[in-house]
Amino acid sequence: MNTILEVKHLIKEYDVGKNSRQRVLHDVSMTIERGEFLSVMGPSGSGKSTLLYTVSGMDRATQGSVRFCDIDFSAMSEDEIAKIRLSRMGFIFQQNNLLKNLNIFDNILLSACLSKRETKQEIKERGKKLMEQTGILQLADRPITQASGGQLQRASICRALMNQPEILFGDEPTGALNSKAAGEIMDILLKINENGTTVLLVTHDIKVAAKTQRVLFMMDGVIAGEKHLGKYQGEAGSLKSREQKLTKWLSDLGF
Amino acid sequence: MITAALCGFFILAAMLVSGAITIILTLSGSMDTLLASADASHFSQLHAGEVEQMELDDFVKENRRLVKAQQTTELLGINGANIYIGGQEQSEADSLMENSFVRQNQQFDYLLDTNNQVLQVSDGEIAVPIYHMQRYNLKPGDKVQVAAGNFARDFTIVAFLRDSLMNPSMINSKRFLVSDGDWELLREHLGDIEYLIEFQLYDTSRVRELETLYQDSNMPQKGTAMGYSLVKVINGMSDGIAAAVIIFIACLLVLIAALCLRFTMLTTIEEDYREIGVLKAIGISNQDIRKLYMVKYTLISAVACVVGYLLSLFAGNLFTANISLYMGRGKQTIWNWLLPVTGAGIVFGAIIVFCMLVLRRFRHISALEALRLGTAPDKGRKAGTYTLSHSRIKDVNLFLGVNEVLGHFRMYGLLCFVFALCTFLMIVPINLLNTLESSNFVTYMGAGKCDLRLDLQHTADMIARYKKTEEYLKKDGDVSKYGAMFTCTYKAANSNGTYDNMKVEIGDFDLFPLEYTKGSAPQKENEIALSSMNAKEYQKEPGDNLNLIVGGRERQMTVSGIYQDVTNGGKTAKAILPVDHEQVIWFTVNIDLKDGVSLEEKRLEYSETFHPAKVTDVTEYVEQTLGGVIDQLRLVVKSAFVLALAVAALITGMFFKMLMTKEARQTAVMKSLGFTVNHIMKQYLTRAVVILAAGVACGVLAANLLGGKLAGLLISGISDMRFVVNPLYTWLLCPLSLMLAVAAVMILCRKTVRSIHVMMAAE
Repeated sequence: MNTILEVKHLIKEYDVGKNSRQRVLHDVSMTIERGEFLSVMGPSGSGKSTLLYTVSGMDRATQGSVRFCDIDFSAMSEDEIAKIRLSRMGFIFQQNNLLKNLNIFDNILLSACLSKRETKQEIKERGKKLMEQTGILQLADRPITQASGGQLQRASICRALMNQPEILFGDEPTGALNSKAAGEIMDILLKINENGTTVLLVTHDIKVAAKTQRVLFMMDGVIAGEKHLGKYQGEAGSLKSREQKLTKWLSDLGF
Repeated sequence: MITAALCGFFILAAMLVSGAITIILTLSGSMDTLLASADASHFSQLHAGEVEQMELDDFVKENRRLVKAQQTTELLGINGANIYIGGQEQSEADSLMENSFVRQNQQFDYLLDTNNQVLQVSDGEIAVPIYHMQRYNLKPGDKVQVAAGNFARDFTIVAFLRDSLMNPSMINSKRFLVSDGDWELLREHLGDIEYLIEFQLYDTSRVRELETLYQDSNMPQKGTAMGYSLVKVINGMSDGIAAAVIIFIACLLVLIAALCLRFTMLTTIEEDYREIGVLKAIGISNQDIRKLYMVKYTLISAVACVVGYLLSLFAGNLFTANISLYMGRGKQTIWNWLLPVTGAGIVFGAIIVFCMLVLRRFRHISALEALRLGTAPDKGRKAGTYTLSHSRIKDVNLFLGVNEVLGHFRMYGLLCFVFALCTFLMIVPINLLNTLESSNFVTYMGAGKCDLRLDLQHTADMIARYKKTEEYLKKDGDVSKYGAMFTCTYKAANSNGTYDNMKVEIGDFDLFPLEYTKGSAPQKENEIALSSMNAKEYQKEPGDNLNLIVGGRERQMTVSGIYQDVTNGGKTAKAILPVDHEQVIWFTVNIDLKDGVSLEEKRLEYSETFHPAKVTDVTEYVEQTLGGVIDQLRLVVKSAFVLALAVAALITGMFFKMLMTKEARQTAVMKSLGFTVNHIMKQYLTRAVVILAAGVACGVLAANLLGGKLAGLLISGISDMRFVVNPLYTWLLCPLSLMLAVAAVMILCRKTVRSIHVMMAAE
């Protein structure tokens, strides 16, 4: 294994009015190895989403360093980081964030067409393959208003995977879905991880976190604990016991 | 910044509306006062030739029920070469004005001073028309000299005269007032007498009736006739056009202000969308929310309209200075204050009503949707008709730009309309200026394109003079070609079955051809071409028949074509007919010189040789007749150019600012996917370029289709002008400047896109 993301002494502050700043992340350090499936849990306002967006280069660190594949984000311009986001990272949000005036297929192809790494035909073929794998091929020509939340979230996973990212970030990707749809999304993410893509999720849901390899617990802007659950193999019994272990661990930490 | 621009538009609109109303009120008041003070004539006929007063008296007796008074006055026409005004070394030889010296009238049509009082001058004194005062910046005490050979008479200017008949600069005859003694003295030494036969009627609505009776009789009529309504129209025309243009600009500004207001309000609503949702959710009614927004705009528009009205009071003098100078001030009534205030009030009311219309959309905002989405739902085209997967556009940003415009055509149509309007506003004045400046323009004025033009009005020995002229020109080796045209008056049958006088030009029309808007020049005998005003009046099209009385017999003519004419009041005709020398009222000779011959020298030579014929350098003629118009038009071109660019830039800025605010979340999502600011700006630029291209195309099309007609409205006699287009300006400079203005604004808008934080995608 080698390190894909390394965070050292990360501090993030926001302006909250004149001459007043609020520190959201306090000296956070962590590393993520290539191929890992990691989740971050914690109460609202603990800084978990801020951590996700700062380590993914969507937001700038106030202090400390974020290195992606040995590239230091602090030394890069917005455009350079955008290029990395386009070609080497994928994002899934709680809301699907698909563009309103494109159909589902076009939404999926969008970032791949922008990166121009493949021909349009190759892009279209891969888009269809991903849609087939996620079970939404029949929705290709539909506008986004004619699909369910779960279907749209699958479409946004397809979009995130189009450029074959090295790491996939998810901010509560199942947060707006019912438990059945959430389970299906997690199964897809597990498959993606099996194929070698590193995944980092922020979640409130123990059932989601229980399927991940390692869980970070955040409290008041610091990583208050870390739990290694090991790779989830997919047996129903094992999931129950992982959930119980996780629940006990979180309650020990006061969550 | 946007609020300030909006306020500026409101102020300008209110000022111009109030100003235009002030102009119209002043114009009508001043004109009525002038006509009343001068006791103006209701029908006037100029006549070059003998007048038998007895016959005129008989005519008056026969028509006693119509005619209240009649007077015949003598105008002593003095060649410009003999007049020196204001101590100038240069005489009036080059001036197009035909200057006559007169005595004060005894019964009516008095010449007035600048206080609208009837003028009286003593020997050695002179009253000079306002036109000359303005042209030479004359002051009382300045001198006027009339000199010919050994004779010279100096006059001191004691007053400037207002002339109810010949006041406007558009009329090329002017009257100078001298004492009876001086008039007799001048008459002894120089000048030609022309008679002005004037009538006053009991009922001014019956002028047309008298005009027809007069024309049908054998009364003297070798010259121009002018009815009361025409006097009013010509007096009001130049300032009336100014008022019309100001009203047009004011309407345009109100329209632009309305668009700006709409964009501003929609942007504010977009920004406050979630807050509006909250207000609705806690039970505040639509009406109350609307009031919150109305307060701001009511205040802005109220202040702007008051300021606009006050400015119009100060600017009022500027607007009406020319009217006051030429006609004096009319009586000030309460309406002179009330109506301009009402004008500003109407602008205020229009703004408020428009605000209320825009704010009606509060009714359609769902509290739940506003709270959930934070932005207005997209009501554009459904996705699926034009797709990225099938598009031939390889660049994804270009595709997104084009797709957005196609998907929301109604919304972008508005901006497209603004661009079309701006293009129209830029191109029409440029094309008009280019056409007026073009050497071919003379062919629009009813005259053939030539180097020199020789005009001889009716004199006793006119035909002999013509023969002499022809002989001279035939022998002159410097002349490459020449062609003579005789203008005769014939009776033409109108649609009522009665006959009107028609001035018909006879000659060879192939030598110096004209532009024909329909059909062609008369080629054979019994063919006639009509000026567009005559064609309209007689309701004739090429191919129709028109009956003329020629040599006492009715003759059926076929209309061969229609042409534009601004000469002789625009009502002329051209035909191939035998010339009846008795009927000729003037003749014109068009002359083209060989290359290398000095125009000025030839003009002087012919002026001397063919005196009293008027010899004009045609280019200079156009310059003198249209010089003022061209100068004004240059100013209009520059102003319209700047105005169009400013409007395009402002509206583009507001429109895209609104869009960027509305689409902030979508922009953040794209940024999260890896789109850079440049990528997103490329999408916005594509939208702008697509709309601009469509707008410019529509504007150019509209300018080509309607521009000529619009220009025709401004220049009497030309109903439909075929523009002479300078492709460099029309096709390149105008679109390019608009593009640059839009691009500059888009570059400024980049800041907005830059400021949208990618984290917004996560909210």
